[in-house]
Amino acid sequence: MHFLTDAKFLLIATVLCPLIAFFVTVVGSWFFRGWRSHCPLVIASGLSFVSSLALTVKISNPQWGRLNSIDLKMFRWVDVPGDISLLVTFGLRSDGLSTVLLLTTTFIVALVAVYASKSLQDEQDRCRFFAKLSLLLFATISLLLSTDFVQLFLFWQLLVVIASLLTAFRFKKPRAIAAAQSVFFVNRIADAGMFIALFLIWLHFGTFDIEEVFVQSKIAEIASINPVVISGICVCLFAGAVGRCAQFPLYVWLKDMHEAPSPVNAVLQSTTLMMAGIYVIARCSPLFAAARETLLLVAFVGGFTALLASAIAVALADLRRVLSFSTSAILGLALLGLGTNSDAGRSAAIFLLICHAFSKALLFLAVENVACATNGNCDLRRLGGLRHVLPMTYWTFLIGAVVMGSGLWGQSAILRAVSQAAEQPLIVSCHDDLSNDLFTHEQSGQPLSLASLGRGNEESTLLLGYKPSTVYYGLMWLAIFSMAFTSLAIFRAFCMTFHGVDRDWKIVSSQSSRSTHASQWILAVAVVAIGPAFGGPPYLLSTFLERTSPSIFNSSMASESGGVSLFIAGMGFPVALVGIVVAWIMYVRPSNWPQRTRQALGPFVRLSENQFYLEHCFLLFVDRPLQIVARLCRLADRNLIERLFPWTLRRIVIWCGRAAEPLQNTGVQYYALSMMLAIGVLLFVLLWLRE
Amino acid sequence: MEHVERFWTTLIDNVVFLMVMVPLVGACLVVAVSGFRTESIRRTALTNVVLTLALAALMVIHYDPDKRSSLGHPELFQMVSENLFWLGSRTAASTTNGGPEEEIAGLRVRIALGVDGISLWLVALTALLTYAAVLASWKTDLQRPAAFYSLILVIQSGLIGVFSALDVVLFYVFLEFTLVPLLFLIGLWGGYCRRSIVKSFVIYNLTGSLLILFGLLAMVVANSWIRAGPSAPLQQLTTSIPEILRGIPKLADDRELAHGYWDSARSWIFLTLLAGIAIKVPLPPFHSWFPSANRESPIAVRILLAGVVLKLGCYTCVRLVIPVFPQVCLSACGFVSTVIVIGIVYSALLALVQDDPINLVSYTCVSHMGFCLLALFSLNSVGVTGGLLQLINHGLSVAALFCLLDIIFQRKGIKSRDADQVSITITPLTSLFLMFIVFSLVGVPGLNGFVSELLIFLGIFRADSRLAIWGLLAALLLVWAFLGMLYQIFSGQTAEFGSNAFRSPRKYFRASSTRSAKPDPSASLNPPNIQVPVADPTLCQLAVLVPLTILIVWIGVYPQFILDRLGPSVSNVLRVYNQVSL
Repeated sequence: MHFLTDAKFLLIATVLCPLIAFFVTVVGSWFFRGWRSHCPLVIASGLSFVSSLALTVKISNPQWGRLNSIDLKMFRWVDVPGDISLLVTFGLRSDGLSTVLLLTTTFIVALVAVYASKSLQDEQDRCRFFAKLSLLLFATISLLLSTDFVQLFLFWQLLVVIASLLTAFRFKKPRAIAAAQSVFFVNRIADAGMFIALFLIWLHFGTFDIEEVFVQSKIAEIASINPVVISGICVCLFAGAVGRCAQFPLYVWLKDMHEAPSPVNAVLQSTTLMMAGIYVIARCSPLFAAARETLLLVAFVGGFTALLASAIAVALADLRRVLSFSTSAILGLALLGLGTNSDAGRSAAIFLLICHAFSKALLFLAVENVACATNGNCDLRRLGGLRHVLPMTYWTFLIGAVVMGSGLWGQSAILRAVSQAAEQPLIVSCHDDLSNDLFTHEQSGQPLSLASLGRGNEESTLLLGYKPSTVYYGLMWLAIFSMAFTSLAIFRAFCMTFHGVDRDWKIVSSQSSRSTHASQWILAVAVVAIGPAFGGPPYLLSTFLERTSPSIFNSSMASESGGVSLFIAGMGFPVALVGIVVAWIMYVRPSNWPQRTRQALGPFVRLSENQFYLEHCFLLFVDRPLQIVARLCRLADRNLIERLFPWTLRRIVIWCGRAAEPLQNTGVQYYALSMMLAIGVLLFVLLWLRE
Repeated sequence: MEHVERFWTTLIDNVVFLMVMVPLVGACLVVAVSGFRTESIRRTALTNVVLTLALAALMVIHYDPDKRSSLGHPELFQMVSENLFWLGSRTAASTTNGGPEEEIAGLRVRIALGVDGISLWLVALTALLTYAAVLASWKTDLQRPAAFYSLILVIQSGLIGVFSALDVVLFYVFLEFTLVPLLFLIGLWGGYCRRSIVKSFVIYNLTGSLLILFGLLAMVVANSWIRAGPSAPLQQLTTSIPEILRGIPKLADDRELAHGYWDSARSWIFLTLLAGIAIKVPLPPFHSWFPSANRESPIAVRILLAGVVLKLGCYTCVRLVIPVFPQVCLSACGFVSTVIVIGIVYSALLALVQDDPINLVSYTCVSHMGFCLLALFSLNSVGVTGGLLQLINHGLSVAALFCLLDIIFQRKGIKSRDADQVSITITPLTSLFLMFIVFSLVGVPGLNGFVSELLIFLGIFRADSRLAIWGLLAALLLVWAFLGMLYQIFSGQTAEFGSNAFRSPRKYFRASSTRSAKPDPSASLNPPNIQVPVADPTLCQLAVLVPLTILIVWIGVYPQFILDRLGPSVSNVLRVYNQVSL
């Protein structure tokens, strides 16, 4: 049994269990109709969870030293020799960051699978759901454990494909297919950016291996030759993440996610799909650290989306859409945390991501209960008074809403990181010596201070034309407003669903079974526990994240001053409380407050309801011109190009014939003359050739 | 035992020659049994095709990319059979043993056949897709089935011949050999407007072939002149492709006289060949023969046309243009690539606004082939490998896709053009295959398209990043076009094809985005009334789809098997570029 504790075996087991589950589900559903198709996935995700737990133990073992990751090279995937060679090697590598997300993912997927086994009981082809979910889990795990940028990109894209397939689960509805289509296409646009990043990495680093790319000296060398390169890579990587995390210009696909069954949303929005964006940005922090202006971009887009998406979520009428856009808002906050370029910010972002994952999964499962009870009706204006009908769902939803909307679990930590960044100067690397200076600082883990940088700071300030700290100050206010709006949106949804008008609900079908209850309660307990346990005083998460290589979550300086608690009642709590109180006053009893605010803020409400008309802009400025151009092309093709070539050829032939026509005039003397001439020409040519 | 062993080695050595001959014999056999029932004609054809497929498998297994000759040189062309004289003076041949080879006069054309890492896969693809073509048209009612199947077999022989010919004249003969049966197949068994289509098909393809012929002959003559100098009488005309490949670049660099002569001639030869290739690829604005011919073809021809015949242009380019004209390619690749990219974007735009799924797929084929050619003109190993891999991948995927579209639209007699108010309900198995195939065409990871697209784009990026960005744009347009097609098919609204496939997502957006207040705003999205079920694929069609799908997945998961065999040949093609740049 000793191989069971071998790290490499554990790695392979974590990856392969879901894949095997996929095949078993497919083959099983082929031979047995209506069997317990959820079993393989539940078992596999459970096994993956256990083995990633074992990996966690291995990694957090202090014997492993400072930089620790478990590494496993597997096989050459593509190897093109020649003048320009290309080598892509697949492998598995786990360290602090990937393992902690691995734990979250496998845990949530296992519970959702248990839940879905009951909730999808009536679906004809639920084995399709479980097969795809197994594949999704496999893709996520492989993404987290990737050692190679191409491998990362492969699973990154595979994730979207499977996500869109899951979205189209009820493919009889045209709108579900269209939703899947928009998930696929919008993310594909984002991936084009990611692909350019891939190419730039290949061109300038000459390798795709993640660890080799993240060597500090190499990055510094490339940045010193051409500082634009690293910025370009980072911007393109971020473009991919913008698509996955549904950030500002590309949140279009989020709107239709409610066409998917809620368990699908519970998985996609909490961990797998949307987590991937944050993961890649966090993983590539060494690159981003070398190009700080892009971090400013990350922070700005994150903060801006957080505000925008939460403002949208406040006005939306569909319960599932409210939750979707709150996801976008919270991931925007996480990006803002990553964009502060401080270890505290990064840790806070990961902490927020994990807490959000648990609570969002819980909320979507609760929504599925609601939808089942009300026959698929999730329009907030038609809901109300469900607390008497679904008491358990009421409590689980409340727990999820409190965790997500109260600001205690992560948001406050983000706020604090941003405010610290606002106090500290941000340096744009404009001088080689300056950037070297920065690297030495980063490696020694010393806090950057104004005094140590002195002259450079002023110069960079001049270079940018504004004070970066001012930007972070502004972003902090964006974050504060976004948190207030998020909690308002969540509690508005909560109040309108469970309180409000008491309607006479005739329960169509309910989700009351032991397994759904159990999975929801386990999730609820985990949601509540995770904040204090991970972020609180034993600093589990921070110390664990420290074991990421290359080191990007360095909490040593913080622990000297007594440790950083990610779980704090900082600024975030009062802000969120405002949102909660407002929601409570306005929506807990039927009143005309909502109507009045609506009238007062008419244009803004319409803006929010239509997601700021982004889609309409897309239709008007991209789709319409493209269509016109395409139609013009078709017109030209049918009327001009299709006929041009045969016509020209025919003309040439006719002209040649016309030109030769006078020669065929039946005059013998002409024939004789032309024969003589031809012989003369031939003789001349031959003689000329002889010489 | 010894006899068996000797037989086996002889078989392996001549497997390529056999693969050309077996379909020809089969065609004769099919004609011979034409008096019997249709079923027996089909079985004869199928037996023949399966035999060729088995030979192809044997060939792939026995190809050794690292094989070396006794002198230690890498031996890329394997399973070569070149002892058969076809044209030329026998007396000249008999002196081969006596005098040195230089002194042989006159034209010598051998039936020289053999495969290297590049043609290996294309020959195998031809064998597989002919098998697919025969099986896909199993249940269709044909008039004169014997003629139909014998012509299909003749095409197969011609295509295998083109890909394995090691002689310029032979290459051209086989090239024409594929054209004539296609002409008859489309003209006799084609759709409604086959007559006019055949005319344009012949005009385009004949012009293309003739241009290629002129280019090749000029190349042969130039080769002999470079050897002896232009003033000497035409002593020796080598038509052997490997000799030309070795000879021209080396000689043109070595001798000053030859260098000067070659300088003036090569760009004209290059242009002539390129014009012929542009028609064959097909590259806009010379593309219009392909979508129309494809639309009117029967399914078997469609599979061969889009799957294999379309690859001839790129193959000619990689075999006879890129290794022979290094300097011209290097100086012209910027211009050529720009033209290709314009063609790619143009055909992708056209694909977006097609009425008919067959047309849509045809235009995407034009675009995909443009990508292949663009990758070849990136002139680095990654791009060229990607382009060649894409040839194979595209052949596999598009053959399966046409087979599926045939199942979906032809089974119940629905023509997509009169599908007003008819909706189809697709069965799970068909939709599963359709999804797989379309995904492989749009480059979903885990399937074959991803690998080749990755390599193609990396190669193009390396050559010219601006072009690659336009290429990425075109790839997105293709994804959109394919997704539009999937949406139409899955939502059952084939009627929409009559108006516009492109409009659908927009319509959807408009319907669902604006008023979230109204509960169900999408009245227009309800499927039409008449439901026409699509049947599951029959056993024959499964016999096509399953192997193709397995190959698609296999190449996507483990592409190194193909790349290993492709690699040395690609570096051989690009070897001259290393010398030029040095």
